[in-house]
Amino acid sequence: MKILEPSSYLDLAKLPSLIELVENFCNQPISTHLVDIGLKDEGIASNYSAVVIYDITGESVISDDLEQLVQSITAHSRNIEGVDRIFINFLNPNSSIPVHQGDPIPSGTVPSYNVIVPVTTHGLHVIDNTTSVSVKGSPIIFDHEVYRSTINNSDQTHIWITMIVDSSRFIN
Amino acid sequence: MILPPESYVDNHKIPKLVEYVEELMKHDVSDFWVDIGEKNVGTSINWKSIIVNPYDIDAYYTFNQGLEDIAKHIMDHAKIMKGVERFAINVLFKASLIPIHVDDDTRPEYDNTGRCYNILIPLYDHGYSIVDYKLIKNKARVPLVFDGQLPHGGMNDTLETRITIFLNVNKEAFNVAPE
Repeated sequence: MKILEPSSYLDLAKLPSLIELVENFCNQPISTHLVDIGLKDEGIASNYSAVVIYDITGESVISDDLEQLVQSITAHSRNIEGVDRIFINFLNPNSSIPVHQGDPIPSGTVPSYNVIVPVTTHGLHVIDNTTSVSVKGSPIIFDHEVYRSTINNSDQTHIWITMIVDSSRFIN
Repeated sequence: MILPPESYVDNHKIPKLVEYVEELMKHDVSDFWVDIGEKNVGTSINWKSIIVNPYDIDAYYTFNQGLEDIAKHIMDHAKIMKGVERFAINVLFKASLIPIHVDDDTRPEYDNTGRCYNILIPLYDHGYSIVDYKLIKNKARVPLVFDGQLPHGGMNDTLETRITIFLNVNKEAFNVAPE
């Protein structure tokens, strides 16, 4: 189980532009593209939804409509080496995401890290049972084994980016 | 600072209290609780509280003869527990959150000059307490003791209802080395 310092990420300098693009995206009418994760995973509507906006693994299908909306993000992401997937998360006011671990990585797959990049400052990210107030643009980096959760302690929607990035892009 | 449960001199009386509350919670108690979100901000956040023994007859407390009738033995038991100044039962519905807060808004976080410690006793294993920004898995009947000026909250990340007993107990009832 590993938690890395933000400074270990070689492409840290590319995150501010990504945040700006994601903020622009979030200002569009995007509600039809959001997936309620509770409904998808457990059949029960939750206050947590997400949308995959970039995926070079082929795991997620991005609709033509969405692809149009995320053109600029896609172009920027292609310039960030080692990024496999990007999704944007939305947690409604006064809600939380259950504590969970990532899925085991299939053997033969290149190891990767999760990079969480807060777009808003309304939430708390819980990593390995310690909560930290989310700071816009300040990434939290960890591997799939780390127990994590997110708490939105406010009356605003908390938004953050999750990037799945090849481990070779970190000074470890 | 989180204190060990044994630091409370009447820790041995807690199991009986838990037993009584477990029995009480088998009844429909919805007439007795206050919706804390509605009371404070006008919007429910799925957090209800039954104020069994209040500090004072304040805005949160409504005398309810029904509760008095059904919970008299619990109130009597709490009265023989040293230092218990307030006694509430917190009910947090599935997938809900008690926002992180301190008990006295007029004093800063981590100020330890308050009169009481909080004793939180989960009835079930599900959910978490958050104390001083640490997530602590709830364990049925295992008390969690902390100063109410440590930022604290609760998280129910399950599909069950989380129920906790919440006692405010005078610090004189604890064996604690001076901070």
